[in-house]
Amino acid sequence: MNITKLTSVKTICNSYLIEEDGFVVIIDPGQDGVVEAEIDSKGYQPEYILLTHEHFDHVQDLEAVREKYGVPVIASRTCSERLGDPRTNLSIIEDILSYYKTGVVSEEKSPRFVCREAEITYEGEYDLVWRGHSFTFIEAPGHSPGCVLITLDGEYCFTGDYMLSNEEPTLRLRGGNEADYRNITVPILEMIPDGTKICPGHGVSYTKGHETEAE
Amino acid sequence: MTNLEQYNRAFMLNFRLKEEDLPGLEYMGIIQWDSVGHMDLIADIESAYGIQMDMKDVLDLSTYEKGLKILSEKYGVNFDE
Repeated sequence: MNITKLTSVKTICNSYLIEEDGFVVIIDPGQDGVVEAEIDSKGYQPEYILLTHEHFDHVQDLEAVREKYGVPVIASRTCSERLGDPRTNLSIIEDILSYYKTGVVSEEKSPRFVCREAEITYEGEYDLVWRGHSFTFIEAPGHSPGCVLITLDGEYCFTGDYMLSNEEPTLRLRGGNEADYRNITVPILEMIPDGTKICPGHGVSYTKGHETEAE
Repeated sequence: MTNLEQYNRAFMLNFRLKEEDLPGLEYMGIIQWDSVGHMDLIADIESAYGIQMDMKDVLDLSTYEKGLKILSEKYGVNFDE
């Protein structure tokens, strides 16, 4: 199994490809066509798209990728429902958010977009066995209502916008909820065993318990 | 709902204010109207009128009154209806 991290230029958002024998699972299609370019250059065959949450930087290429490869999307029901509105996928505030982060006014207006709902949705927890590997999804609201943590074979955890290296999660964007984060998600995050490889939606990957050795 | 009522509603809902609190309101003048609050406010204003504002106007909308002026002069929102 190979895991490839791909990072979009626009918002420095990480997407991941999990590859086994030429077949891949995509975690967050991201932006800028980085996932599509990698898949086509390597000749991979996608089989699933998994979403950590509904925010625009993680899903802007979702429709293009699912359309091109014809693969099902797996997301929490809440995430799925929030993909279809620019106010909940936050594409409506992309330019303002970008300005606040960079101080640069973009020359072009970013498109507001919507995505179709996921083909497979779940509430609470969900398990997927794929080519001998085990994915576990667990809802983890706080950053957004649709957030989930995705573990792979108990060794990797794809955390979306949680557990970013040296950065506290943002809880004040629309749909964010600090009480949910503290009461529901923090206990889940604390149960992730040391030694788990943390693969966040932004920034570097690292091993829990060895944060100073971030890759 | 009139355009003015929609405009006021965006402020009142986002910042949990009453209508009488709105005149004179300034960006960063209350704790709720910070950068995050501003993003939500703009999102609601744009959704209410079906517009996408230029970033310059987004940044210029720094008081309740300036918002009225920008929206009426640049985006054709009629507040006199």
